Amino acid sequence: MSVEISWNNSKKSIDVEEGATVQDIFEEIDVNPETVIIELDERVVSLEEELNGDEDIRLINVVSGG
Amino acid sequence: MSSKCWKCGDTAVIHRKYEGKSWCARHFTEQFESLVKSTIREEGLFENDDSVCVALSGGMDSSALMLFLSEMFENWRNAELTALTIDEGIKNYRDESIEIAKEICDELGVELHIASFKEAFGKTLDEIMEDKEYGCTYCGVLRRWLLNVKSREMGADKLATAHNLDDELQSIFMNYLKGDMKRMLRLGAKPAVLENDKFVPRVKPFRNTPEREVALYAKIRDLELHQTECPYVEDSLRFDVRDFLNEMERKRPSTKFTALRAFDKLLPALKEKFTDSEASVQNCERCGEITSGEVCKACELLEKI
Repeated sequence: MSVEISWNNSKKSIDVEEGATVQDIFEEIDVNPETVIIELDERVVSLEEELNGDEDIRLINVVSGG
Repeated sequence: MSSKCWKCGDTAVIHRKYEGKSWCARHFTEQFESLVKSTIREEGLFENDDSVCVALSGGMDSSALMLFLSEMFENWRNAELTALTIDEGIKNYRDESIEIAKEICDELGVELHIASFKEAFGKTLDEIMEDKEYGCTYCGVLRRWLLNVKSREMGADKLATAHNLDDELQSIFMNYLKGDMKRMLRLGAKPAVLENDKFVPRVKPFRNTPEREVALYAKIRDLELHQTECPYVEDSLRFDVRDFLNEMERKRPSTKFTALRAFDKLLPALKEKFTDSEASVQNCERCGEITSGEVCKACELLEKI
């Protein structure tokens, strides 16, 4: 199964194994989970949320530049 | 399957590795607000009859602070809350966040004042930067100068800023790396009060709260998240420190809290050593505002534009 993940104007489809969690996604992309809020199909979820496949994940950057 | 809130079993919106617990939106919000109130109470940030001005950029941190304080002050009959937005004059960036600031203040019934670089200094930041480098230096120094002057003109007893745990810790590490010990006195939820009637004391209610959790609070409370990046943002020491601390927190949860607590233990000794001498302030011989030298940094920069 796969999920679509978008962040900072990037978008990527990632294959994940059954039982994978949002945390596992971060092994595939160069993003520190400490710097984002995670939306899965438009609802905020934690890193431990289990994936079902065919989901859209959006990472909202929270680090400020100032 | 959803991860569950440790208190009620609802779907979790955050798992805090540093405490090993997951929280749903409702209990996260309750706990977040309780933590900020503890900071306010323990640090004595406000008096019952304070006139408090919120430095409101329209970004997620200051919007969250505006919302939080307006709700808290509903029960403080003699306290007054206003907001101040600085318009640096950054096209396609600040104009968006000013609209957000206006909307929030309209909704909350808070009086908003807007002060601009153009009006105060004769030029927008865009105009200043036409032949300059290091936009963050000009912006930061002039913005702080204007926040102090305007909040004082508004009659504010305190200027509340949305600096969070990450901002604070970055400043601590940057000061260490630069060896600038007297700047350390500007840190803390209630920085050292300067003995000068031109200085509006600053308070930081979010100082013990991680940046990611302030953003999550803003998101849960349906605040509009202004995510446009400032065009003058530059690679800086702060960015290096920020990335280092976030990586440390990822690998070793609670690093940030531990480092902040360690600094808090040092701060009284730093105040004792530096407050009476090197951290003393006087009035700038040009503009009359506070400075540690003869001429303030804002006047030094204004001479170059």
